[in-house]
Amino acid sequence: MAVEVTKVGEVAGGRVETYWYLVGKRLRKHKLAMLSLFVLILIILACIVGPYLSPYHMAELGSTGEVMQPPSHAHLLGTDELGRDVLTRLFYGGRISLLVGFSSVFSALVVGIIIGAYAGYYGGILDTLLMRFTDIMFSIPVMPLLIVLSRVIPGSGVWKIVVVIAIFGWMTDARIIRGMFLSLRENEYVEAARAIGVSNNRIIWRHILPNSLAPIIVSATLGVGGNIIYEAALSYLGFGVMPPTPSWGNMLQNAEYAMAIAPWLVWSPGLAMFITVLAFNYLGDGLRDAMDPRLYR
Amino acid sequence: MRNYLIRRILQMIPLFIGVALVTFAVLSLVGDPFAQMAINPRIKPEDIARLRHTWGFDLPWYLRFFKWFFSMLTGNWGVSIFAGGKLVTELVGRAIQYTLRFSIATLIFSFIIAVPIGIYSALHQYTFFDYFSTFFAFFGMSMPTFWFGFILMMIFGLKLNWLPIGGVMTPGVETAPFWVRFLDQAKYMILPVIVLSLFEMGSWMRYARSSMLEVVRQDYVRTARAKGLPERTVIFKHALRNALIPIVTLLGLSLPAIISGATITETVFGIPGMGRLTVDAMLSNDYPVAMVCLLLESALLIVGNLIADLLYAVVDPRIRYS
Repeated sequence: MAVEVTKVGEVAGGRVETYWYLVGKRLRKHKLAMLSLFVLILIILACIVGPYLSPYHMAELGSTGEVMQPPSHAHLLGTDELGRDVLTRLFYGGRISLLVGFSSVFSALVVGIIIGAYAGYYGGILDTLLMRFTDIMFSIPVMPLLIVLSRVIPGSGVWKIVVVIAIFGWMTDARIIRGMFLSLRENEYVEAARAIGVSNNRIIWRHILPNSLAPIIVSATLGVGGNIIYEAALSYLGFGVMPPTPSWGNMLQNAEYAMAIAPWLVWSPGLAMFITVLAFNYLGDGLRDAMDPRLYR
Repeated sequence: MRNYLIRRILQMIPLFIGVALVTFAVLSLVGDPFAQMAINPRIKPEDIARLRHTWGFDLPWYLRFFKWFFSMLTGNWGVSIFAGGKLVTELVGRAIQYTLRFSIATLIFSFIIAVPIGIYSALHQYTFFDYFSTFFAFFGMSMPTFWFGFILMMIFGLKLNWLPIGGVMTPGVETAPFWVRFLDQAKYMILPVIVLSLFEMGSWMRYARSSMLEVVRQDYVRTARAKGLPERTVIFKHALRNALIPIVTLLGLSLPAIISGATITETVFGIPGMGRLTVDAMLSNDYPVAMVCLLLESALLIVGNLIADLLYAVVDPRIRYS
């Protein structure tokens, strides 16, 4: 005999009106956030596909006549001081900058969630120790230490920059998660889970964490934009992603000296970075509005 | 209140020591600043060994830390390892002088412009002005400072030739009369202050707007309107005063930025301020200078947090600490 199972939260029309469904619905109404999402998808696609469509390679040097040429049909955004095609390098640079942005936020998030979750769930001495450590990390001037760490950690790879940015990026996440855990652990469903003998780890990761992700998603979205700028600033100072690998930041480092004669070298990487960061900020703002239940009372 | 203050100040001490320890540990990763000297055949190995001993580089980093920490506590901030053995206080003092000039101008400029705009756009939510100022705020917060600096330099420095593109004063102007000197240095401040302000303005505007939006939805504002008070009185006496509370407390949190200096902007415009001094000292492991710079900033961060909390209680009588 067939048994009809109705899922919790399912309404008569057959559509599940979960929290995330509502968030998506609200977000779709936020025009600027949707536009930003569209622009971001476009930029990400361009960075993935672009290099395959370009007739040039990012490290392909031009002949003497091709050095520092202004935008033309052959080179849509001109060429740099070594005769390399700027547009092609912009695509590759975008890959690197976005990769650094996403993966540094992700790594920081993992650290922040682990520290915040254990501190908030267990409380007591563990909480005190972890949170005092968070306070210390919070009180350290970030920019100078970012610079020094990226200089002393060996290697010139992209992953070094990701690690360095993540080291100073997890504290806000940890505090937010801890706050969520402090309030959520008192809920009935946690008590119920405990009563039927669910292990602490399972309660933390399967019961509480999914319910505390909303504020973290906002801070992560804003964080991607912020970390792209951090990478660019480090690269500009010469401590970020090392040439010949292009990133939007180190393309600007080279451009600084060419400013007077080749302004197109300044415009394109900066504009790409600015639009990307702006889109992340708008998207984060839209998500915040969509996830804040206070606004929809 | 008094107990609260004492407790907070006592909590600061371990925090401060922790910060100093972590910072020093990272700094020690830079390694021995005298290693390069060994390349020079004219410098005797004995001399290098003597220098190493003087600065504690023959000790493990934590012993070097304690040696430095206790001498700092007794007020002896020492001399720079490089920079011709100049006093740390002298180096820091000169750099702060430059940094303060830019940061205070930035704070005043951005605060005066951004807060009224934020308040106004909250009172006219969803109008064109509101959308425009919100866009401007996001624009400022998303702009990479050094790139914005380049663009201003290209337009106002190279193309129009109106303003100098870097430095702090025209060489040779030191002997000129006061007003000439003042105008000359003011000219060098315009571009960096615009760059620094754009970002600051964005966040001040967002804070002012959201704080005012929060307040105008409150019941007491509705009550004030309902009893027939003129709109001006409602806005200025009932709403604005309360909206300013979180904004004023934020001033406490911007304290460290006033002293620390913006490394990136200082590099772009060639300003010899605290940001550059800190980073240059760190990169050469000139730890007496670097530690004073870093701890100054951390101390202001910690104290700034406390001031923000205290200001909160001062401007809002509903808040009482115990």
